[in-house]
Amino acid sequence: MENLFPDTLNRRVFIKGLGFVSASLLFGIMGGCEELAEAIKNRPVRRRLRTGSPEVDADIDTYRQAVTLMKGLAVADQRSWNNQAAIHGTVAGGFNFCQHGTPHFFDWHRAYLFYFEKICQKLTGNSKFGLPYWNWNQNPDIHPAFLDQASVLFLARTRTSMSGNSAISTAELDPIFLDPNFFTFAQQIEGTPHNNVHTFIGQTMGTGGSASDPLFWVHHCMVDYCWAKWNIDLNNDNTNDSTWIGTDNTHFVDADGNPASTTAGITTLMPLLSYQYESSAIGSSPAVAVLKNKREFQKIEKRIREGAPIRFDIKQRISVSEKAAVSIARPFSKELRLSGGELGSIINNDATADRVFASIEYAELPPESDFAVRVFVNLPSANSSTPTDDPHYAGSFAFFGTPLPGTQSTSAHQHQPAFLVNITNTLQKLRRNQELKDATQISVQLVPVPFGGKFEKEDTQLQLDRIDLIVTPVIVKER
Amino acid sequence: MISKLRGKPTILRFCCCVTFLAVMGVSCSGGNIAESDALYHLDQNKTSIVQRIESKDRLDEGCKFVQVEVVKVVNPKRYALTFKVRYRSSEGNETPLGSFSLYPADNPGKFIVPAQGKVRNQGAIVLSMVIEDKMDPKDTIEVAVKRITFLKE
Repeated sequence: MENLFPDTLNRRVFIKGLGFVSASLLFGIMGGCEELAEAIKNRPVRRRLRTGSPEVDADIDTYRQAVTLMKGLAVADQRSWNNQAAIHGTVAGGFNFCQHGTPHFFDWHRAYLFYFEKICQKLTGNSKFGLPYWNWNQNPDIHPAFLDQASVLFLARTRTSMSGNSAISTAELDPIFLDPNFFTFAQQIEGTPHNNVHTFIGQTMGTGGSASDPLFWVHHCMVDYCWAKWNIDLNNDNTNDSTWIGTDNTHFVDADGNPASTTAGITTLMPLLSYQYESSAIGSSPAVAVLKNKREFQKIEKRIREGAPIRFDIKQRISVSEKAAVSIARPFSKELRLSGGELGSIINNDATADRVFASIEYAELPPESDFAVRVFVNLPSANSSTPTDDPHYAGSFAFFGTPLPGTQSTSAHQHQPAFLVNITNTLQKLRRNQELKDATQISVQLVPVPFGGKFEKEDTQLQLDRIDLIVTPVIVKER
Repeated sequence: MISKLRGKPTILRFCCCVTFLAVMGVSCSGGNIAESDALYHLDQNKTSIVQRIESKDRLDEGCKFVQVEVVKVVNPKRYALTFKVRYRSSEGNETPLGSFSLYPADNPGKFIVPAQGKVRNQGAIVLSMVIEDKMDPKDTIEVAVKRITFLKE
């Protein structure tokens, strides 16, 4: 079987990522290998918010000081409180650059917190500062430090406790933490405790501008701890899908106020290299002991660096098209030397584990990205007016990463745009409708559709590298 | 979500969404979600719906997740909403499966709750909307939800 996401590519991306983490975030600061190892060992601790702990009290003091200093920065300083919050969104305008409802919910917010924590460290001169986290499962009440109306940590909220909300209960969290799939685990953490805390606490916290409430950061620190605990303590693996790993999260600001970005892959290593969590229980998952020795640490680091052995193994690959320059102004259609009967075992059986994907690879990003590409099956007449509820419609994709006009990409690497669209359901639907018979040849159409109703540049060319149909079991997990 | 695409950041979200859905083996609707696609309408007076599990749901071997797609929300005051999902057996016994919220409280989306091995070929799914805040009687909340689906992977 052919591996769609070769291990070598993943390893290369990860090594590049690890190098970046070491060099930019730690190595560059400390200046040598021994110092680097020491810095990792002594990386800041993110503690569970609670009363009666001198360490936590000290962290709250530092946080209070950092918020005060950020609020005092000049309006133009990108590290200022309002500018930091606006990266996520605003109360009036909604979300800005944050990721919600996408597979980058976890990593985007991890990177956001990481840079925010660096700013706090720099402004307060406390390089050991770790953001505390609000473990709403263990301590549903908001910590008193955030309720003092005279404090910069205060903001008006509808509620001061999550008590009575089942989304943070052990009964609801336990089944979520049992899920070994990275994507569905993330989706559930986002929809259930994350969303509930935002809207239940209410007012600013319930809006896109929630990051202007100091409670936002300790809430999201807990969300991040959920991911870290699931991944590190509970031995679940993140995806090593190269597209996910290579996705750049941008628009952050480093400790000196300069633009900063990081890939999703790099964020997976942050809890091991850049900060650490003071362990605590979430639901029935207890607090765990600190890693005892270097060997134990290296074992976990290796597992996380390699990512999840979740991948697609291709059973069959059918070429649709090789290299071609395609204008976005015209739909692209290609008939395959493949008939419905040859996929009979899949399209006649709704319960099959096999899926058929259209794999579309481009040689490079297009100069414009103001459009999506819709994928249809067996509809040569498809055009930008063809509705998406047409039974021939399979899915769509769009391009990400095209630099803004007049700017140069600052991405650490340029990945080749590649997309997978699952056409299984469409094939099955056409079969049921008697539109795909055994002798019917299968064809694929790619239809660019402008977001704003009109292309910015109609003469934009897409450099198609290849299109294949691939048949694959959905996810194969190997150990 | 897709109907709200405007500008680069949402393009980014759109792109990631599509990639995710493709990888997860789910096809993604690329256009506006028409309100007529919604089968259920909830409001402050009708806060729950029951969907019987039918043979077309093909749950002989159970499922991993129950998926609820909220396609339209009218909630101008952004009252906090929690949606609770329960399985009701043929005998009428109800088992909580999980809950989710909208964030912000007028933001549609697709949500999953774990089936926990409890959802079988018979019975029904009960979806209840809890309005967490005290509502002004003059206000209205309307939520449109697509037919509940079941994910096996």
